[in-house]
Amino acid sequence: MKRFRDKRTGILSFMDLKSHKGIAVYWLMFAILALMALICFLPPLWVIISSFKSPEELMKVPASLLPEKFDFNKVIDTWNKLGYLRYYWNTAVLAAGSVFFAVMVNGLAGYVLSCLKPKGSHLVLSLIIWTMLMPNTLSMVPLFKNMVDLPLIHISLINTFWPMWICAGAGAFNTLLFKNSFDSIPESLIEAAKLDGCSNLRIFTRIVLPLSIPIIMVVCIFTVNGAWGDFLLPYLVLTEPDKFTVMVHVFTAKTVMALDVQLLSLVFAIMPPIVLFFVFQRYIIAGATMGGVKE
Amino acid sequence: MNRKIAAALKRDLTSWILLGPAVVCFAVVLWQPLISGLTLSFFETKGYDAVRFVGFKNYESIVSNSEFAAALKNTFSYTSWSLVIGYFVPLITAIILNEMVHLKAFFKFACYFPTIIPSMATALLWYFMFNPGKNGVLNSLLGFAGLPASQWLQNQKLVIPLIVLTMTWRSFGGTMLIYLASLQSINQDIYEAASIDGAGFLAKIRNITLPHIAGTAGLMLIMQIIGVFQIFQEPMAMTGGGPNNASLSIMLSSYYYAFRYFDAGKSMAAGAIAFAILAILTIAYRLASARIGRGGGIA
Amino acid sequence: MKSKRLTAALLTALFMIYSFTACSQTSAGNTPAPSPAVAAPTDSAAADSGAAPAVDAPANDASANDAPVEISIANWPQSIDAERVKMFEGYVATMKERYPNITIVPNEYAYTVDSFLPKAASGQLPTLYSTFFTETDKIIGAGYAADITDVLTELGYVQKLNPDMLALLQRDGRTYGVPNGGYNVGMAYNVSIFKEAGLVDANGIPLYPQTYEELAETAKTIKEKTGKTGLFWYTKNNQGGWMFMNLAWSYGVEFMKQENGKWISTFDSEEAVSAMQYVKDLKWKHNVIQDNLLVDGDDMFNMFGTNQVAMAYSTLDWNDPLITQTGMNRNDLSLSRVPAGPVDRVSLMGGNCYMFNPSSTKEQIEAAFKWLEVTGFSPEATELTQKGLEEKYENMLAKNLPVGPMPLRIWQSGDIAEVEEEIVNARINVDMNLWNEFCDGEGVTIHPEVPMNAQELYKAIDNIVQAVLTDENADIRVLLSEANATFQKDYLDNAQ
Repeated sequence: MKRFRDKRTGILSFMDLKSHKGIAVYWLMFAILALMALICFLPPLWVIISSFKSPEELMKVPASLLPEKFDFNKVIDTWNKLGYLRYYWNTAVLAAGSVFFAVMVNGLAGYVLSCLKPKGSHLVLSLIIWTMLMPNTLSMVPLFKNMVDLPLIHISLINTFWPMWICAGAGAFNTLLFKNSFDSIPESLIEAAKLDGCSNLRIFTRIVLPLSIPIIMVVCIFTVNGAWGDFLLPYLVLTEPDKFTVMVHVFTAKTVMALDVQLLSLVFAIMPPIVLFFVFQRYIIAGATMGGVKE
Repeated sequence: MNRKIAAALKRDLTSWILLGPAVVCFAVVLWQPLISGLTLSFFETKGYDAVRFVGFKNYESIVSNSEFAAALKNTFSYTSWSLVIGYFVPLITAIILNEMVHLKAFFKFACYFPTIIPSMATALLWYFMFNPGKNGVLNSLLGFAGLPASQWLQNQKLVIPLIVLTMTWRSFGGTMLIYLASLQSINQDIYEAASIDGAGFLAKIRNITLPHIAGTAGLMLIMQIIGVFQIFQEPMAMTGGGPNNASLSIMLSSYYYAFRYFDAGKSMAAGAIAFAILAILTIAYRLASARIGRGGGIA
Repeated sequence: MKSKRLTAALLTALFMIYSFTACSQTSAGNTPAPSPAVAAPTDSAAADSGAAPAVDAPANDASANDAPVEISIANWPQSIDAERVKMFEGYVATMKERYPNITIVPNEYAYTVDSFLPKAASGQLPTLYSTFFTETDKIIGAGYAADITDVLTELGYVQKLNPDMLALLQRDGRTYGVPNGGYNVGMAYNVSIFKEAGLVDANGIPLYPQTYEELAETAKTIKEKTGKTGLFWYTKNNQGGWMFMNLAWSYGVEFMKQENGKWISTFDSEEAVSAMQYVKDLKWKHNVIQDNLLVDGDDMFNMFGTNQVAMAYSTLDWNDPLITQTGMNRNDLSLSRVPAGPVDRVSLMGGNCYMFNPSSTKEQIEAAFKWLEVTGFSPEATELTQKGLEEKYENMLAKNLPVGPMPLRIWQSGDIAEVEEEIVNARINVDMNLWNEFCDGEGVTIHPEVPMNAQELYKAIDNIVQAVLTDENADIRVLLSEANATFQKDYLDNAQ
């Protein structure tokens, strides 16, 4: 119970939690959340553990709860056979670049559209919103054509990570998220910085970004997860095996693996984004924003 | 006067330079491809190359195709079900999670976990869950409760709500994180002041929390409508659009036109129709929200 | 306000112009196939070897023509598949020795529905790629396969290839691909379930049902004796329609016919009604098919390979995914003829083929055929092709795939078929009694796909199959006549 004392104020304050009613509400909410967490967490966990099963056991209906035996050799074998490290590295480079593009390019766009609002920027904003309404799956073919032969400058981005990075930079949703978040930064803060002679870029990196750590972390999580799981575009773009991402590697190797090994190979594939989630999620906390506003 | 204009220009110039990279990315990835796609919808195509201008012939052909009415109806059905089933789940979860002292990181992770796991694992999950035999997981549960087995995805009335349910399960964690991030910027002093005034926690939700995240909530509403209106991957993986087209969506049919039959013109026309409908919905939403007086998060 | 509008309009206009130039430039970069005349110097040499396809012809070619050529080869094996990688490296070494001017670029790209269109539309297809008969119609129609008529003629292959298969790859007298493996549909039997049900003879060979009525009866017995699903029925992703063809043709259904140059859709016939009634009965009268009624080939592999279902339509080229994915024992697999219907015993022809990037030069296509020869694809058995074939079957042995049953003959003349048979016979690893009835194909009519809008037809049939299997009260006659009319209106009327 001691931990309640650390609780920051919210709809339930520390004071509320001293009353029986407050405690009851808290634990009721806890129970709801625990139920949600179980529904979200246990079924996939069960599937992951199922990769220990033989294909026959894996597909059996009714499904068995736990594998008949845990054969760890299979795990080691899969790890060795697929040689993950190189593909982890490739994907990490891809993901890092994507994060940079998502935060810098979309962040800057959100900043310009939210805070600077130069003449004509409303047109860009409308274009961004309107393009969100257009089904993007269908732009895959012309998009890929552009990557093969970049308009106006005519260079090919095949076999590089640039196509995925550029796509990360064209995140309409992220741009709107940023704009929406920056909208709540007090204008006075930015005006004050301007009076101090800060350049626009400097205001962005020194004031706007630090005040928006939570949403940046959310975008980082989305981007890393997206880059890690993305398949079609990397599969189209990367033609040399030593550039493959984990997902492309696992997918192309799929045809020579049994079902259980396919599943296992995917479990390895998602380990890094899970670890990274824990790194990023810690920063979705209150304080970052308010600390800035208070000064 | 001149100096003033020059200063304004200069100010705008740096702004435009900062916006430049985004404009380039958007142009290459979205705007040019989309315009070329829209253009293609007015042409007879050979593969992906325009052969002959045919005006609205592709549109006529799609709309008169017997599948179109079903796809249109289903798409609206997906969208409305997703508002019923999916819209409030991440919002409520985020508000509750924000109050937690215990296991906060685990709850965050658990709710986001379905988004991380690969689609092969989820496919396997649904295979067992929705197996229509008496040994399917859900049917076993029904059996325990003494209820008759269900056909699940094979039931033409259930298939869309069920697909929406799996989608919600798969994706609400991400939306929840967005709400959570938005909740972090509420000034705690306001809550404290409200507490001192004797406001109950429901009053605090109504008067402080909800107004603060209204912008985000409006943005997420539009996003959800746009996203679900363009649904195609989930039905493609789970039912292939069946049974008997009961889960076919406009975009799935558009996908099939392009990738299964190589008919780019019709595929683009189907996409353009989806766009037109969404555009009307968006304009209606903006008119409505302007009348109510809320910005709705965007523009 | 006015100036604001103007800027907006101007920007939009500029943007449109930019978009259109971008469009035209990308499509210009996509111009296919240079005229054959450009390749004149090599023509005569190739023509010579075509007229007299001697064993040593390739060597002559190599000396006569050594302009460097680069070709990329799709379906290159993954590093995880070490044995096949070694095999392909062997091919490369042979190529290097024989044709030092040809550079081979490995490409792991393999045909998938998602990826083909973007690759093809942007000119990124490998020089040589592989696909399935079901896809060739749209690929040729879209211009994504090179016209290889001239090269085939010069190589003398045209008369030697199986004309039925070649016909699937031809349009208006031009040829756009070569068959690589031809298969007709058979009925696969899970031997271990049949043993469990006691439905085997003294030698442990399943008692194959010979008619569709017997098929349903056998499925019933299996369900009674073992509790497992008797028969797998395909229902989605156009495969429901695709596999229905076997049944329907055996019941005497004609799907379309040509009258005065006009195509008429004809699958609302009584024959079609009784064939569809058979499907409906499988579920509602006999109750012998799988519970899950939205399934395709992948589900078949998973269910059949893990001993949950006893019988399913299958083909020889599905042995590989079936066994690799599920780890099924190859000795538990048997393939036999399709059952007979009241009118005939018809099996749909399927298979896969090689096609070529439409912007390949003639030299590249010729080089690709040399590569194919090294891998064992050629009408004449040479030392090269023999080695290629031996490696192919050794690889199948190593992967525990059945070696013994032979696919349909691709080559009508030349001695390659005999040599291949010898190579296979020396390596048989299965009980041929489990395969003989299929391989002999006695009384089986092999039928190619319908000539018009096959995939759209399959989709229409998919819907009806799903409807009759999920709804006990579905009216077959109404469904068929509606689908027939729609198919006529949506597709056949437009095809005139």
